[in-house]
Amino acid sequence: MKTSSERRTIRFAAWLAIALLTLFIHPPQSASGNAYYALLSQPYAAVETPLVTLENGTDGTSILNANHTNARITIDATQSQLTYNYSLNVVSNNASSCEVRLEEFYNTDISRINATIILHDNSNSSQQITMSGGNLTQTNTYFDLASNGTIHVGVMDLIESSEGTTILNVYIRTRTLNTTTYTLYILTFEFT
Amino acid sequence: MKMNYKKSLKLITLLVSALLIGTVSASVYYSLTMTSTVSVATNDVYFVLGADNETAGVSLTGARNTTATISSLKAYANATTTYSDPLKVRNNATSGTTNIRLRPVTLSGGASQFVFINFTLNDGATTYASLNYTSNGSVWTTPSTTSFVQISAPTEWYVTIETKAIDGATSASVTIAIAVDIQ
Repeated sequence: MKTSSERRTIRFAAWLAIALLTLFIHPPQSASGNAYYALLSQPYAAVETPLVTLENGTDGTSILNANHTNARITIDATQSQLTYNYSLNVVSNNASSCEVRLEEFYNTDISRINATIILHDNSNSSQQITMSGGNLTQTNTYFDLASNGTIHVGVMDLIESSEGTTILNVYIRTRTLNTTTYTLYILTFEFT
Repeated sequence: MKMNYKKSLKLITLLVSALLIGTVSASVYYSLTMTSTVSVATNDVYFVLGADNETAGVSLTGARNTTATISSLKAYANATTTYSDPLKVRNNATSGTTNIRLRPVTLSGGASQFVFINFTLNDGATTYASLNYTSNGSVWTTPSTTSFVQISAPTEWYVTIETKAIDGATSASVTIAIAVDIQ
């Protein structure tokens, strides 16, 4: 039988061994760091009703999303030239005017279609995208959309060389005047 | 019952010796003495207003534009809105480079109406850092702190912000605080 004193000594020796082992495994370290400071940015973003919306034109068939920020237009192409002046309306719900342009970002089978897509307000127009002989060119020219005004997307001189379906996806870029702030809406043309 | 003080004393001596040995073992150190004088200096890197600051509602505060509040960002349903130049980060040093990074700080506001809010640090051609907060329709995914990148002096980089709300979005708001760490 060990005495109480012996047990205490053994306990003490055990703690000492643990302390030494800890020191051995984790020797004293030096710490270093880099001084830095921070700038703080606190943005607040709110969901709001779009200041520009897309509305059905009188030509072709349009499908609009819930908030009228995307559209898909189905347009009939034939082997005779056709012009659709009012394929889609772009409507400002804003007290300030802005600028609008079309930018192609995807297409399929455009070689069978010749057409010119324009923006117009019944008085003035701006050529935006031309498809001819399988080539696509775009002007990247802005067209003014007056405050609370309406402009139209027109498809001019549309003709197909063969039966089929052509998809043309474009962004409708609306830009706040004199800024680089813009919103992209997606518009899909389906030429059948 | 009596304590064996002699033994305890020996053990304590042993422990102190072990500590000393552990502290100085295996490395030979020398030291330099440094006397520091700390004075208040101006920060070389700070915010400046971008060309679109009015559209985005940017205001700068702090002794030297160290805090930017952006209060008029809009997110529209199923449409991506880009604020290309609401705010800039300027390195106003005369030479050399400085390391900077973007770091998420706080976020408050529901995720159900948003698709993403993306902050990028760019020079108009190259994106150097990005914090893209994305929503799965119920919760936000907060991005990780970016790596440090070097901004030359003197240079200004754009803080570009992109927003998008879900189709059918009605009304919601979110406040996101991000830090630009300067090393």
